Amino acid sequence: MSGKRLWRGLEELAGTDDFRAALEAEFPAVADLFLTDRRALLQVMGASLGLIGLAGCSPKRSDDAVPFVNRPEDIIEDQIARYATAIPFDGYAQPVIATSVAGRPIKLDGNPDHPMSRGASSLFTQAAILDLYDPDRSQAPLFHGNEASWADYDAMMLRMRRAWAANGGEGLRLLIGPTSSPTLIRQLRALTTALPNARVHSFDPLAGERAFEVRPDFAAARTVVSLDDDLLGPGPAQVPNVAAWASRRGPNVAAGERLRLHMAETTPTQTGSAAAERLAVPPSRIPVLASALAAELGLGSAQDGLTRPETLWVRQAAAALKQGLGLVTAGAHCPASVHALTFRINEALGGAAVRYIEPVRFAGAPFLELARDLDAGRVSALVMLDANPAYAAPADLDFAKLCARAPLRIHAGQHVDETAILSDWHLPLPHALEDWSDARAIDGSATIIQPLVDPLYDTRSVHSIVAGLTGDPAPALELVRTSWPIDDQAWRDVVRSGIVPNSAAAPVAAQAPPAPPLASAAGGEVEILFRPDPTIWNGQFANNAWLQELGKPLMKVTWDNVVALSVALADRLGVGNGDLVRVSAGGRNITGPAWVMPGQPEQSVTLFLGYGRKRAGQVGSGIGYDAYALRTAAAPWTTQGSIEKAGGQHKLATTQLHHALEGQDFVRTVSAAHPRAAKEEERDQASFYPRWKEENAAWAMTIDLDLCTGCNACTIACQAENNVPVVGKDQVARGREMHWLRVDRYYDGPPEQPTTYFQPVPCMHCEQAPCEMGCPVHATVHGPDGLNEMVYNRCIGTRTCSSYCPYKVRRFNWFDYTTKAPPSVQAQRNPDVTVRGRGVMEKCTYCVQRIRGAVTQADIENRDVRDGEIRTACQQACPSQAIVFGNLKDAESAVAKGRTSPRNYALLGELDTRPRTTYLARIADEEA
Amino acid sequence: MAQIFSPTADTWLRAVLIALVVGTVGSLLLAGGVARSQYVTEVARTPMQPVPFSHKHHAGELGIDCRYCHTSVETSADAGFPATHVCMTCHSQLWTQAPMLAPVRESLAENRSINWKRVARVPDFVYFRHDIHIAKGVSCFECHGRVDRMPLMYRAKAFEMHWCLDCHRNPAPHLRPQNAVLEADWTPPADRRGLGQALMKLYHIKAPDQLTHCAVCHR
Repeated sequence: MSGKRLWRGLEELAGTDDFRAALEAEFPAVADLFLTDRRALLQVMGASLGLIGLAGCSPKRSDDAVPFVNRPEDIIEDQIARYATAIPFDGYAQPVIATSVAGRPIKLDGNPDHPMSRGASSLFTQAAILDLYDPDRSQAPLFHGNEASWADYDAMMLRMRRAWAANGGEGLRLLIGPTSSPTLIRQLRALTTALPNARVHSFDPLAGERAFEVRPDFAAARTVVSLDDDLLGPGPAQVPNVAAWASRRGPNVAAGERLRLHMAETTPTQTGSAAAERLAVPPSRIPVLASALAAELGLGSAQDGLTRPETLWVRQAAAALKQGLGLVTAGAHCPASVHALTFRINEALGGAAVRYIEPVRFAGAPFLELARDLDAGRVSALVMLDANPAYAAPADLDFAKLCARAPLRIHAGQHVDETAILSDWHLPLPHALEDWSDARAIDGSATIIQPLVDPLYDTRSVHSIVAGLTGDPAPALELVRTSWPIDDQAWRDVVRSGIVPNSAAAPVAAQAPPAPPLASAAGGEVEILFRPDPTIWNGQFANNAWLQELGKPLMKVTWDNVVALSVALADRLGVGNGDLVRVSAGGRNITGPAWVMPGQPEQSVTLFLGYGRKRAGQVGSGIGYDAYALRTAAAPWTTQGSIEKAGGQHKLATTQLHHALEGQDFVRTVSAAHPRAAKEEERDQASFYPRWKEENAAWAMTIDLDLCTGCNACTIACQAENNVPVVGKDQVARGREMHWLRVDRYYDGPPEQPTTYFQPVPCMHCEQAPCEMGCPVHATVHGPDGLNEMVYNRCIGTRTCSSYCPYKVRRFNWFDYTTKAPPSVQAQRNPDVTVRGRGVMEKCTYCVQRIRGAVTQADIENRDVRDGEIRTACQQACPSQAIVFGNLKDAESAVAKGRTSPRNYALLGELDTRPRTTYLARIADEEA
Repeated sequence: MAQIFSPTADTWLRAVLIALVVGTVGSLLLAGGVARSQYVTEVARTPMQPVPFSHKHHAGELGIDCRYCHTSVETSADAGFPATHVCMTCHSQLWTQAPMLAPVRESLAENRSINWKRVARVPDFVYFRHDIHIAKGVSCFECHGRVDRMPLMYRAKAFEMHWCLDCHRNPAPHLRPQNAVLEADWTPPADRRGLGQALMKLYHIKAPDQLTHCAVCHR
């Protein structure tokens, strides 16, 4: 174990005064408010006292009990029901088990029976439940912006249908967002058969350059070489990828068997953070590296012009690949030539660890053809389904102008977005939890999407809308049922289990794709790379407040996108975090706040898509800059341009310095030679704290830092489970974010090429808890099972507990964050968890509602709680299963075994708080 | 030099001191009395129901099982209120024209729920569960009183924390054998103490500190 000097941000590394101040203030917020004048202080205190009386009043709640008129069989009003379904994300199904209480869906979790989930989920899946209750969702059809009815639309469509039937759909064009729905694909094929002159185009702003669907098989690999492919980062394949990666690491994998990642990338990603060898290169070097790697493996001639670190990286990667069981992947956004090369390399390596499967998603005619036809006036009716080209289309096409050339424009979507206002008709689509559909997961296996709730608004399924183009708009259930010619019993089984057996896409024998010449010699001043935002993605989650308030995994910036640039470039421009910079390319420019990104290669700038929305909703409109404004059809992923200081500052709400701990060695690394993580001085010391009586349960948690990828699924899962409020950018900037579980990100080493660590920090549930000593009203007390209990109705908000807490895990309700939430958002709340009011402290409870539920159930059945019966929300979501929870008193439990590992250590162990949450140290990758 | 204190000063002083003591003690007693009064605890509160349903008639005289209407009492946190259909199993045959039952018939005809008023309830920050109490032999009548003798339902006990804790600290005297949980007229055996102790063992009732810590009811 090493005595590293970890740093959280460049401010800390430089030891600036700002950082000291941030560290010393328990809440950076209070520093701003400090009243130096005694008179002013007394006035405020007097006013507060006067207001206490008012704050004590609460409205009388209703006494009404409203039973069913006729109770459906098997439904009990207050009991939880779970249904298997799926949430589409970029067209791919994310298999879920949806939890519903009293008819309200409240939580989504992975489907344990689905191979692409195994019960885990990503932050996007966790946050999808909030989208259902988004008050800004489109609620009725609109005609030229005015509310219309479906009957009006159907009457119009009847006229159009007659015309299309006569001319074979001449001039009818569909533009459809990413979809894998077998029903929709069947319908689209039927439509083009019925109307041979109609055409269907696909629109996916994140469409890559890959010729096949590639599924890397980590289980069969020992070395993975990634050319800017963020395998472990956000995206539709994150959950299965992280699970497979984790299966090759952690405690059960011998040192020699551990998966070794070699990563060459531009912007630091979670994959880069997990890599044994990370090389930071601008995008133009990726094709060069690919061919150098190929040459090193005997494919093609050697490359010259590699820098020393590049040569070293290529040699190490090639040497590791030559040992067998290796695979090479390239990011979907890499040029086709790189994909052709990786295909050849994998073939040469035997191809055991890479599978090519039939395309899972619908591939329509290219969007650019539609743009051409629109320009030529060949489109008479444009139907845009679940796509937002007015926001995300390449800027050089000027889609707004093109779109106006189609006489009839119909848009169907969940929001009245940028495209909706350009359209004659806007049709509201239901959320995936509101109507029937189907979708395929990343491996091709199909799931029937079943509704959990009647549509909240006057929506119509995309299947019915497409059916309505050629005939009567049949209900979605009928259309989906027709796609699956199985008997009723089999149908019921398929719906119940959430997976259609044996429906995974068949492997295909891929042919080497044509290798276009290696292009992209760097010109211009800087290379600009476009990446989807890690939490807002391509902009589709812009109105999701949970995802907005979540710190980006590496930057910890909330509510904004940034222009990521290297330390050297920032120095040269004279800018720091938050200073506005202007990035220009091809005669267009955008202005956004700079973010000095440790690990970013020197002459490169990364822009994050998804922000700058004009019509996302109350949450997402008008924040950040719009990176799509620089994107062209010819160069959607990388381009050359220039960057300059724009003058001015943009206040960024970043959490990277919040809740900073005072101490050292927060994240520890062990090696085979030195497997012990805990230090000698961290043994139990003599103490004045009361000794708690030992009972038959002692709840504890271990978090394996060797498996954590910093994906933040745990944070959002906790937010969904525990009714954690959103506070807004201004409050986050003051350090008042409410997340019960934060993921700290630490750097080690030089800012140009740092090592990155992630550390999830929930409440430690100390056996000797300083917070319990601090509370003057016993609002936080020690339970007999070791839980550090929080009693909200006793709390008077002195915040003493928080100032006593060395881990900074307590959160205070500075304002009433809950009762003013829109009623639809309140419908998402978990009824088993108290909604906290203003002036109350709160923190992670180890999901006490789940513990009590399981303990009471076991009590009813007169048995003990079984190991694994209680799973906290964070544990349940974690794709790498880094979080383990259980009973320490049960020596056979997973958590008790984890605590005996030599890698086990306590955060700030020298304080002798004896935390029940402990960490398992990261295992250092062996030197190559 | 003139007298500073008048002849009545002593009397005034005594009167003020007595008034202070009496006032303090009196207001404390008053506050305590108000807090325990039926006005605050709402004991004996009999809210107006849409239908003047008599538990005395249905549960007492007719002997209908509690679970006939409160179906989920053994399996769920909530005991459950009867759906209109449950009322109509009998009342589609009996008293079909009774004016008193008009709201029930309307509810069925218009598919609109009957809005009953809750009589017994705990605050929102208390997570009470019926199922565990029934499973551990706590009778319905323990908390709800002799429902079988109530023509109109009223609150029998003060649903306050000290009252919950009384039982959680010493459950034995409140436990019944499983076959007596729903029994209104159960008479405890002579050795009530012995039975309580035996049932504590049978039901694996936990030690008081495990039944009284905060997270048992609050989370």
